[in-house]
Amino acid sequence: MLTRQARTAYLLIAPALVLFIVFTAYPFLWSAQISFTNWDGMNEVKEFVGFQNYLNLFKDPEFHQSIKVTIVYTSLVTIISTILGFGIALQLQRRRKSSAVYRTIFFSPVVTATVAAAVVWQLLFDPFVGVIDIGLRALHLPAPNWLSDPTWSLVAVSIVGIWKRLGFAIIVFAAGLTSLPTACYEAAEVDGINAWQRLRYLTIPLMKPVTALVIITGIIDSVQVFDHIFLMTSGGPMGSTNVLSLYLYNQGFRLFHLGYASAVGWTLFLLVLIATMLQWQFARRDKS
Amino acid sequence: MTIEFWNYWDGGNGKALAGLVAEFHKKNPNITVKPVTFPWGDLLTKLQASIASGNAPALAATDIAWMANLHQSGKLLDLGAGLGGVKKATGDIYPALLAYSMYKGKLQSLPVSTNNLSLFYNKDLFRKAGLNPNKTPTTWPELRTAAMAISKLGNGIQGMEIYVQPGEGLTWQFQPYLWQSGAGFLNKTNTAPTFNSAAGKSALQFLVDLINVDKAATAGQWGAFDKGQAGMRIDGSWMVGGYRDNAPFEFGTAMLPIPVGGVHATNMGGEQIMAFKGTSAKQAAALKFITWFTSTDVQARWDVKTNFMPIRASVADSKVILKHVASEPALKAFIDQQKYAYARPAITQYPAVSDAFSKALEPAFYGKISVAEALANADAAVRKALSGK
Repeated sequence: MLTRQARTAYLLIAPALVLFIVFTAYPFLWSAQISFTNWDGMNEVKEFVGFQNYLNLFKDPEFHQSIKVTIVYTSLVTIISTILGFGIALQLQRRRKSSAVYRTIFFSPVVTATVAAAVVWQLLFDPFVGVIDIGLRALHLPAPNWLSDPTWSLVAVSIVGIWKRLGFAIIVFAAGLTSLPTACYEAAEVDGINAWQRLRYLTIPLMKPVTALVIITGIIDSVQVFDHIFLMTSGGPMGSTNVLSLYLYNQGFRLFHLGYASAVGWTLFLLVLIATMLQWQFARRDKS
Repeated sequence: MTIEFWNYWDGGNGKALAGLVAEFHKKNPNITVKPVTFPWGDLLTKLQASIASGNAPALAATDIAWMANLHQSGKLLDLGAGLGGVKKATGDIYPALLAYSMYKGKLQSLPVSTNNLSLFYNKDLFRKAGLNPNKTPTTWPELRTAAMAISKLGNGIQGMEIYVQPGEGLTWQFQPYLWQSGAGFLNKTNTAPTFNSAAGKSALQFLVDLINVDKAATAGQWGAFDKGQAGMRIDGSWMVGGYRDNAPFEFGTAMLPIPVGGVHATNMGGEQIMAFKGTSAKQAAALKFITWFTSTDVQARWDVKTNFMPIRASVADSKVILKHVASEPALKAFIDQQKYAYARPAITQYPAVSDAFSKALEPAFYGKISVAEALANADAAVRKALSGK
């Protein structure tokens, strides 16, 4: 028999647990089962095909392209938003008075509806009436046809990804900076440390756990990116922005290859899992 | 008795449906039909989920492109059996539309609307480019001349806007060129592609040259015509009402230009209505609604409100429709062209076929590969998609 305390505990976690099972665990396992069939989402029969979907996946050039695009997008967004976020957080720390205003400004993209933002960015990137190209032309710089040119489209959607992600990085870094031990800085001050040394030997090492958090959440976030790319380019032109989740969506809900799409989903899940485990491994080794 | 009717008709089309449903309620006080509207991109997914969980609605109307998949769900009601035989149920409905209605010899859905692609053109840009806005191109060479004249206006204005984003949009816009040139798309039994031929190459080369040689079109995003940034575009009759009310320019429509020595052809779109298996009372109510909704009188008024094309001869010849077309001249091209509308292959592999085809063609529009190479790639990719991988 359960103790009274245990019973209360189970009762309290029950609502969350039920939601987790219904909306996460069950679909998760069901998609694993579907990934071994060639089901189209509709047919009465779900024909078992073993590992065929996974084998096809590794031979599919579109899947390879999609992985490449996802890696480039994830690297661009994560690296740039982390570095920029750290730099801006440092600046904000120095200007304490105005920092609340700036923090709000930088954070607003995070809470802006992605759909609305994507539509606005689409206009900004327009080659004829878009502000970006009008500005570039005024500066006599090449004004690319951002969303229609296979060489620039990924850059364009990455810019939106960085814009969307930056606010989160800044807030986390800013919070981390305020919680750094002042004693270290005071001791260093006494030893006559200069600004660069303070950043290089104190702030950056002390901020490592925070940086790891920003990078890990950044990667998890970017690997699963869908909405603004779906709206801005639908993965095109010529697959140049066809990230994994778009590829999955198209396979599952446009082409009705639900079994194949489930296999893509599981591969994506395993990739994220491995990336996260590697990062924790590095973070842990650094600590010891 | 309340039954749900799932569809994706929003805006004016949704209001038109609500008005007709209210009439149905007056005649059938014991049945309540509840229209439920989803965005176009969500409807099929919702139907998939409802079928899988055994909660399918009594009625649904969907894009004809999805019918092949819905037919094999095993959950569609046999309308032939329910409505006193296939012949009685279909009457004078155009046979081409029924290509999407039959499954294993059974009638499982009925057309409720159809449409096709015609040429839209911007009369203001025609005038500016020194072209006669009442004389539209009827052949490919004339289309090319007009497009080149308009693109000379500069400021990024395109002569002709071409759909080059991969997916069904590209395929469905390009197929008329294939049919016009005689190349076709798939063979009669839908088992092999036919487009990789001299005629197919001439069709693709025509568009590729408009972009890369004549610089009269740009490979990229779709939407320039809406902003008055393109002289011409191919689009469907559903755009007529929107352009009449909102376009920042005067527009006209015309039948699609054809190659010299070619034939008239356009693509056929539309929706079909179906009933799902359920309790016998619900099935009876659903059948009653389908009979009523597909009847000549109701269809004529439905078409007037939505600018869809008639599904049966008696609707096309009705006074209501003739009067409507007289007051909406932009519809004439679509009506004239409906008899040249080709049906896309009604097979379950079609979405995969269309996707593979469009992706193989896309690089040719950007001038990255030759037309011959693109069609050869498309041929191989379509064969693979037809075989189901």
